[in-house]
Amino acid sequence: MRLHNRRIYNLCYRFTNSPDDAQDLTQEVFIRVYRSMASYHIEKGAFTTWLTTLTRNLLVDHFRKSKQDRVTDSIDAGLREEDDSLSLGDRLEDPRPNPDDRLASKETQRMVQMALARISPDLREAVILRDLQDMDYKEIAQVLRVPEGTVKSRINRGRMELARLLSRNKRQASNE
Amino acid sequence: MNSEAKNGMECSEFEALLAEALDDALAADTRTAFDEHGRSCAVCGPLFAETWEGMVMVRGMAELEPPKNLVHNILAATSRKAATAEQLAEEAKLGWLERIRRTLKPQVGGLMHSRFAMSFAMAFFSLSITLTLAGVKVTDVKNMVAHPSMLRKNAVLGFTHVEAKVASYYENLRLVYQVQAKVRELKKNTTPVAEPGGENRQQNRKSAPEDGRPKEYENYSMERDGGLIAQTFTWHEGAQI
Repeated sequence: MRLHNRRIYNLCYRFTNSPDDAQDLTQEVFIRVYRSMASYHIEKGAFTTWLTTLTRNLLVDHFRKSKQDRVTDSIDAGLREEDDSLSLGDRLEDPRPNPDDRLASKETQRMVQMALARISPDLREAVILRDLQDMDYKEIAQVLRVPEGTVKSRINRGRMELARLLSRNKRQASNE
Repeated sequence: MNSEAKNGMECSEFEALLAEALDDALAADTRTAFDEHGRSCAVCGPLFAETWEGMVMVRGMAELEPPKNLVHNILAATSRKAATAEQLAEEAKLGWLERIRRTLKPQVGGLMHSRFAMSFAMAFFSLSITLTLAGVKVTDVKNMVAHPSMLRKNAVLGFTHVEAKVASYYENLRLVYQVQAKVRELKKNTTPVAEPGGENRQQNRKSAPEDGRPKEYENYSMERDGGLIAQTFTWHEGAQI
């Protein structure tokens, strides 16, 4: 559990764009793991793939319940969450040298997260699993239950949409 | 996306190889054809650039630190769930009597001492006999314990059953009394009542003794009732006349 909680939390957060939902969902994932541990067999695949499949199913359920097509959270929510994840001591000992760089990096990450939340869930989950969870195409195809070709196509389209959204946001920001 | 072949590669093929190209997983000759097509194609070049930019952006996102209490919450939740599951599995194995005993144990633990056991046994025995006489079956009690909602239903059913039995008993008793009363009435009506005087009187007069002494006759076929007494009395009167 200690090995996987960070990965699952990140997966949930990147998908839901909400720290509270991510925490609740991560907790729910591990409760389900404990309940259905008997149903896992090593022949079916790696434990990580099984765990990711379970998480993905839960995220899909959550998405259907909340009908969250577009994230409407305020900008402050993202910043507050990232600030809360670090203790005062950690923040004091932050090795990053320049506060301006930190701010720019945070702003970029926030923009990427917002763009990620705006693309369609099918593309979002494929991109997250590939680029953030570092899973290979075969594993992603197993988790999403789609052919590998579809996985690659979704990842490419997801990346393209992200790049377009980000460039549009940058243009808007420079005009302002 | 057009399907024009440039540098030995079509645009659809370029798009299919896009993911592997970004992962740097293409063979050398394929990679060369891919790069040449990207450079020469007005559609595929920007497509590759956009996709690459998107990938770099997403991969540049830092991993978030989960909240400090997340592990604690998960452990608390899962251990509570596990304990509940084990408890339920254990309870499922127990019989209904054992379940009752465990439920009552905290409240009446002291009363389960051996010196009280005989008293309880006798009380239970008496109760079971009473219930049996009242028409309550043990299976009903078992069902009542398993389903407490059946308690009221069974009580009402039992009461109705007993009430029906009592009503039926008194109905039968009344019928018997009615039949007895009818038989008595019929018997009374069919019995001939002897009239004073008449033929009997004449017969008695004919057979009167010559010596003038009154002779008493007793009709043994008749009951000793008022009629016979009246008849005897009348005969004496006739003799005197």
